[in-house]
Amino acid sequence: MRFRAAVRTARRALQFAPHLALLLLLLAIAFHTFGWSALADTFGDVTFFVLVIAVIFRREPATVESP
Amino acid sequence: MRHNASLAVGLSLGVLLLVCIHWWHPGQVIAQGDNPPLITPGIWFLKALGAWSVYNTYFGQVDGSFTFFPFMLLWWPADQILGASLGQIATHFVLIAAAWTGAYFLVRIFGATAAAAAIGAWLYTINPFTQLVFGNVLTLAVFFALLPWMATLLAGAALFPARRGTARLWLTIFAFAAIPILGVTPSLVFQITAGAVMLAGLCWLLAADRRIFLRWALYTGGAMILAALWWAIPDVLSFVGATIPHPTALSDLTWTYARASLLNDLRFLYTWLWALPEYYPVAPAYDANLISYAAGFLAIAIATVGLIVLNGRSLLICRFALGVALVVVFITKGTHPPLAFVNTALAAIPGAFLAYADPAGGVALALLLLSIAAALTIDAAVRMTTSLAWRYALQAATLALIVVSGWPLISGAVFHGPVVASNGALTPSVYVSVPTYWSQAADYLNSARGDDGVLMLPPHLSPGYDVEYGFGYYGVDAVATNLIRRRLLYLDAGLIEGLGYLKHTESQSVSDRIRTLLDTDPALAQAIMHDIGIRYVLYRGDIVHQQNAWYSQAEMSVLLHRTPKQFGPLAIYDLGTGEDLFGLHARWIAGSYGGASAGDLAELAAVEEPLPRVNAGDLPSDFSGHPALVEQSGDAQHALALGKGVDRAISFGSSPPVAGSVVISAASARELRVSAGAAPLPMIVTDVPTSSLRHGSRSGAALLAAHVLSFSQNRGSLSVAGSLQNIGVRAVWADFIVTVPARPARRYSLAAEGSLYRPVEQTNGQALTLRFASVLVAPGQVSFELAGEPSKGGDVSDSQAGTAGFSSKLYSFYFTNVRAAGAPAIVGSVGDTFVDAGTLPLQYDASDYPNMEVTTGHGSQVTAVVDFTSSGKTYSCPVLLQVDQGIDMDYAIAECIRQNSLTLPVRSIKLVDVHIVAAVDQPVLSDLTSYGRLLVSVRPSAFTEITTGSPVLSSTARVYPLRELAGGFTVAEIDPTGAVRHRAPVTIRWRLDHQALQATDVIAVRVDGCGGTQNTSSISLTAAGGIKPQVYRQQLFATPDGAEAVEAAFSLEQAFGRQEPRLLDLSAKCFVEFPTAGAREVRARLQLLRRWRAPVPVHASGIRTLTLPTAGVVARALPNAGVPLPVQFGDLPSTASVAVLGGPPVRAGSNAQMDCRSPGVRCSTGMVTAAVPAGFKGLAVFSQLYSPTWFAIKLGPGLSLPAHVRADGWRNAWYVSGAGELIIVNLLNLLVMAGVLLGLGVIAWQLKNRNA
Repeated sequence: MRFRAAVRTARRALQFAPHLALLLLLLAIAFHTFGWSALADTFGDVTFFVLVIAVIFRREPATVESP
Repeated sequence: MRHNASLAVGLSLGVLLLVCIHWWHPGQVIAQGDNPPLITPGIWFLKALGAWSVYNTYFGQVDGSFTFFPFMLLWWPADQILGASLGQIATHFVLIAAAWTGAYFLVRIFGATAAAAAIGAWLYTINPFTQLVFGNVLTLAVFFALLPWMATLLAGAALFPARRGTARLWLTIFAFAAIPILGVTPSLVFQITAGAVMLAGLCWLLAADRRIFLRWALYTGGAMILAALWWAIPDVLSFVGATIPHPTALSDLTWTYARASLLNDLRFLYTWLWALPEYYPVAPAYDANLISYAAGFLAIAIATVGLIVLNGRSLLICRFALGVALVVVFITKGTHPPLAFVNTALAAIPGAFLAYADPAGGVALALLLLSIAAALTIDAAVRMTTSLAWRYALQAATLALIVVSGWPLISGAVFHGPVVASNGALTPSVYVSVPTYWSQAADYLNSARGDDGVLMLPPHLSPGYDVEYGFGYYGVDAVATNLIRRRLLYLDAGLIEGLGYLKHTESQSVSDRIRTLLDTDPALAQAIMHDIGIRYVLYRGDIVHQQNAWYSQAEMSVLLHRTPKQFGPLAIYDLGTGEDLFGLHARWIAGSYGGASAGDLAELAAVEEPLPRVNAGDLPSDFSGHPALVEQSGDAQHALALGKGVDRAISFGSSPPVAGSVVISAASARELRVSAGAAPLPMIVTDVPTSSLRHGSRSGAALLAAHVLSFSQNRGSLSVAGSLQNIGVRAVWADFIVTVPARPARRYSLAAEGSLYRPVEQTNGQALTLRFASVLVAPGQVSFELAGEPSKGGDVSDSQAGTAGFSSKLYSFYFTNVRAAGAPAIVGSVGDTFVDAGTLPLQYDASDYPNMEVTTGHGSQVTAVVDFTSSGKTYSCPVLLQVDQGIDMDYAIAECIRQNSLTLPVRSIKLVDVHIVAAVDQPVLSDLTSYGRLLVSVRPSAFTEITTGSPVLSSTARVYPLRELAGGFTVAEIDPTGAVRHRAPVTIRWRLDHQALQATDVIAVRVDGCGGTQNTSSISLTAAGGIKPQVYRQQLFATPDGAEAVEAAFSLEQAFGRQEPRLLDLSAKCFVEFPTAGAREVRARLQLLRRWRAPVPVHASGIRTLTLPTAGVVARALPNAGVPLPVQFGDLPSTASVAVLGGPPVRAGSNAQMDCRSPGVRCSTGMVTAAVPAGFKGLAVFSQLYSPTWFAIKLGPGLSLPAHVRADGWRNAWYVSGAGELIIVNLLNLLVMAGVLLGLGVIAWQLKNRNA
């Protein structure tokens, strides 16, 4: 039961991957603007992989929120 | 609703039209990088006509660029109606508008509102990536225009089954007539195919009747393949046997991924070009601005929002779009971290370079899918708010960000003006106006008769494949390609030769050889050019490159021995008609050429005779033809020896120095000269006498290459004509050594460049080494003729000579003792009259040693004694001096050593009591000018009077004070302050009062200190009294201080035709570019030179001591006959990559019995027909790259297929025997025609059954 609950929690958390990706992208843009290119690139890398996760695990709200 | 849609489309297209018009600069075209100034599409079109067009690349090849043909339907009318400038803008508008409308209709099919679809279409059309596409890379722009329309048809077919018939018809038409435009860039063909498959996959997911749709898709794919066969098969076959100059391995492309971080990839601005100011000077400001930088991520950001707000089918589309986009992003990353190894591994899959080398097509697919997702997201977001104002604000803000993200394209800032490039140089504007002199030069070449080719010079000198023209174009070197209708041969062209991307080893080999020989042996390079059909050389003086990076045009005139026709900075040299594309050769050569390259064989043909050469192993087993000669190549590691039935042995070298060995016959061994040089064996090839050979001869900076043009023996007489190339810039003396076999008495004479040297007698039955000393070899090409006339014993045939083994193969010659004309120690002792014996103090020292000449001038043979000392011991050797032939010291010493069987270091020589005549090197003008062709300076006091006070140095602005210097120099210091302009012309004037000017006199002028960086100085002499001295030669030099020096020699010969000049007022003009500070000194000197026909001997005698230069001089004994002797063909960049031993040339000149110019022969782009005359047996040679796709049919009597062989390592040849009509045609061109008919048939069938 605990495992299933953890999976459910993780799946719910993954639904926020697009939000996280947008946040990371904004931060990368901000770092670039400040001239911190290396940091910006790092955030860009993370954004990419978060996006990959978002595309794979994104479900329709109805599916996600069903018990 | 429909009203809104029309408004969105109309308004958007109107804005795009205004944007494109804004790009327009009247009279100029956009051209930079891979986008050359395409101002004459008609010529481009003609060159690309056919899968194998003889105009496409110089040597011909199957090339995918012919598939660009359908684009002509758009480009050609636009050019004809609107002109090159506005026509280009119109073409770009059509493409960008097609991209926009295609994307719009696609998004609409997926259910977006008109406003959202318009925004999606704008996002696809205007984004950071398309800044690099529209108005720039034509094929990629076509890709962007095609892709959304293909997607629209697929989506329409998936969602609206009733449209499937029409969709299939249009997709088939696309495959037939639109996708081939991409064929010139094979990676785009692959990517549009992959894109279509992915789009079909998405459509399959969305289709209600998936199975039926899948069947439709497969059926449509089959129809598209059938319709595409006409161009796809040649496009694929173009890779067979070809190399891709563009690097394909990911490891070679690492530098292109320097900017390809995932962050940059997410805005699709991964390209390395973006970082180069010469291409995108707007980039730094664009990236530094927060809004424009952030707006670049719009597509990916909106699609990510779509993941949050979309559901159902829209979410599926969004996830698919983002999935594809992320894959593309990862591919575009290449070897940039992180996870570089993944791409390295994937790129290693065969064919993967089609995705990795340039993934631009994948980016277009990603952008298209993201645009759909973005439009659906915007609609969803709009639906989430009830406020109309918020809806409009959201749409307007999105549109504004799109505009900002592509503002450099919209504003035209990507089409920049002159900018400072990454290397600090000035890169010209993207807007280019091709000067009229180019059109004039092109008209001259296009209107000239014949089909001869053009060699483009200078060769490519930049590290990349871009060149910079002085008129403001910087990019791929294809200006002439689009203007000149002829075949053009570019050297070292980098990526692009002709129209396409692919190269073939054989053609590369020949062009590389021409390139090398232009540096080392221009005469031989010309011979090869003639053999491959080049008539014109176009020297593009408007190409900007580093000063002295290659020959200047003036130097090229000297090297080619031609006066060009000038069109502004363009010079066209006419070398005379070259070999035709097609020829019937009754005489040909069979051989075994081992690993010889096509370049080797081209050189061999130029060295010996321009007859087609066929590898004997390629001939059919039942072959019965008879070659004119049989050759055999020798492995460099083995002896060059004449085998049984072989007339000639050849050694090829791929790169100098080439080591090998020759077997010396008994007769030759006797004449073999012993090297006394510092280097031990192997010896220089010039020291190896073989017959009818062409080899290098090197001494110091001088390099001589002899070439036998003709050889004949008839009724006891001998006639050898040849040419000698002196690649150096100074005149040299050389001794011409000829070994002749024992034979009846004969008298030999040598004439070289108009000078007749003293004849030599051969007594009956005596083998002899003739020695013509001090043959003056001026820079460039010198012709010589060796004649042997029977003078004693009458006209005796060779068979009566009584000397066994006599044959023409036993003659040999070489040049030796090459030394600079006018050796200083000797020049100082020249007198105008004979000097009594013993009165001439010859100051020999070590530096004279290689140049010293000892000759006797007294009637009979004189025996001299050469004493030399080594290690404290003195050796004494008698030396026979031939009358007026002389010896050279190293030869004498070597002979002495050989006779004494000694091998020891030689330190000094002492000459004792010898009556010698110093064949004193003629005093020369070389300190003034290096054109010492039998020119002897005459001291001014004896013949000329240069009136003092009359030299006036002036400019248009002011007259400068002069001061006299010793040595005849006139000097002026020019102060740049004052009224003088930055660049001022300087005029130098002389008055020459001469009582006894001769027609053969030459006036030499040198001016130092002119110029600066422009290479503009020249000297023109004008003289009073209507006399116009004719320019004999002129050359421009760069001096170490960056200034120019210009030298010229003027002939008075023409002046004498009208009147005898006495008083000459002469003036020379050059330009001075002032330094930023300080004065400039200009020196000018004039000298009268007198031509002499022969060396002037000066008599002297006395005891002289000569010290050898080093202690390492070793003489070695002769090798024994029959023993292989190691040889080395030169030790520096050498011309001698082919050495020949054996049979003399068969015949000089062209041997084609019939060619394209002959009656009965018709040559066209892809076909030749020729009426073969009765009795003909030989080769029909078609000078296009050998390919099995070419075949020949002979009609009458009956039908036969002549044997197809490779000639000269690269050409097509067929063995033809007997009369008949010969037809040569390319199979692929026929297949293209068949494929076009098939494609049209498939389309017609689709048209008829589209509603089925």
